Amino acid sequence: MRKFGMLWLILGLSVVAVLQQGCETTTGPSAVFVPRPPEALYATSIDSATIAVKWDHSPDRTVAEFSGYAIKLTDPNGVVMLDTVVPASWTQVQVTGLQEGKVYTCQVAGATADTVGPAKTIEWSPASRFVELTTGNPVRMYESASIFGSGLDLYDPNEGGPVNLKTSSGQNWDLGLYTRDNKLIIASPTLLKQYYTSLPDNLRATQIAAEVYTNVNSLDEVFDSEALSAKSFAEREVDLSQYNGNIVLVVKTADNHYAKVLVKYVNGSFLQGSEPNRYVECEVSYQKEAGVPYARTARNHNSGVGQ
Amino acid sequence: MKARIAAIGIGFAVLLSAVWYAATFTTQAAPPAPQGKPIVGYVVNVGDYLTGGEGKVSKQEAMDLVERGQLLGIVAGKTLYLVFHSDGSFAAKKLAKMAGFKVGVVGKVVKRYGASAIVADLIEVIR
Repeated sequence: MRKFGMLWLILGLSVVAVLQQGCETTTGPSAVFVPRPPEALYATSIDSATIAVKWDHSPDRTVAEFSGYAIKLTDPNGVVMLDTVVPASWTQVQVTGLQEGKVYTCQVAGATADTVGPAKTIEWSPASRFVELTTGNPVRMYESASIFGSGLDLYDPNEGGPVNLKTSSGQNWDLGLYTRDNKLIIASPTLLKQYYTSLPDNLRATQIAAEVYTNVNSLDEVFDSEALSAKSFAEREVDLSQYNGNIVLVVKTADNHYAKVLVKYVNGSFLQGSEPNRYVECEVSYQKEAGVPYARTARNHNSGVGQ
Repeated sequence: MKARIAAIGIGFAVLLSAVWYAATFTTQAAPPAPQGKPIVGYVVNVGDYLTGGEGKVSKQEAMDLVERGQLLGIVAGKTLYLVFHSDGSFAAKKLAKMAGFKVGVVGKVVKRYGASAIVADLIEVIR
């Protein structure tokens, strides 16, 4: 009889436990829905004062309580530059009024009316954008046969922008174009010495990332989820004939500045204009602060904390 | 002094008229320069050059001159060229940004009444 009573006790406790658990996960008054963060977070630099942050939707976006994304941007000293909630349909924000070279921390979290979930974090810095040379012309590298320059200094601090240069000024090239012998290549200056005998010896060892962005209309579309330094850099030749659309090269200059270079593909060709002064036209995003790969570290992690 | 100013003014007027005529009626222009062969020179203050000066200007001086409505041109060898865009507009603003450097201009050269002009397809600094 005692044994029978003990069995009833165990059974009763089990039923209570199951009911309690059921209450906690379904209808209990203390249940709080905590939205998960976006699936992924990306950033890009729009200009020297502006960054754009983009995210893939949270898996909880379709949950009724999900009301939007909480965005928080802080400067390197922890000063909050932006703290807001944007609608659940949004997947991108631009923040301006920032300072080039400073690495800002952006957190994005799912939010309900009264709760902010754990955030995903990305660190990014604005970078200068150049669509023109300092002479007011578009950023161009001319074909090898042209009297105009086939190389680019991506940023001349004395002139405040990119400069087109001939081989005789090749010591200041960050990138060069070569178009003879049925070649159409953009390359690190050190690798162009084999083609241009007139290049000086003290060439810059610019490194180009192995990953080339394709299917892009603008540098504004090229987002990254980690620091550019995480890419595989080396002195390279990029064979433009392999591509049939705009491309973006990620570049690390010899003096450790990071840049992205959009190479335009127009009307079925990279080369525009008339011989012998055809040119490749570019747009440049350039980080003026040395050693800042637009981000401090190659991190893109769950912070594990709410706002 | 007044006579000198008047002479310069008349000179400008004649020069501009000739160049406007040349740029506008390009079908009657002199044989064009070989295609792709740039005229290479440097940016000058036309007023200074025509009155015997060297005419060379820095970028800032050139920007100031354009701001004040003064003329800029290119001197290649001993020839002064006024430079126009293909739409007929005067390329002074573009030249101002290139002042102080060797400049190459690719386009159609037209000559009328001793005045020379280039209807430019391409203007670029050479360095």
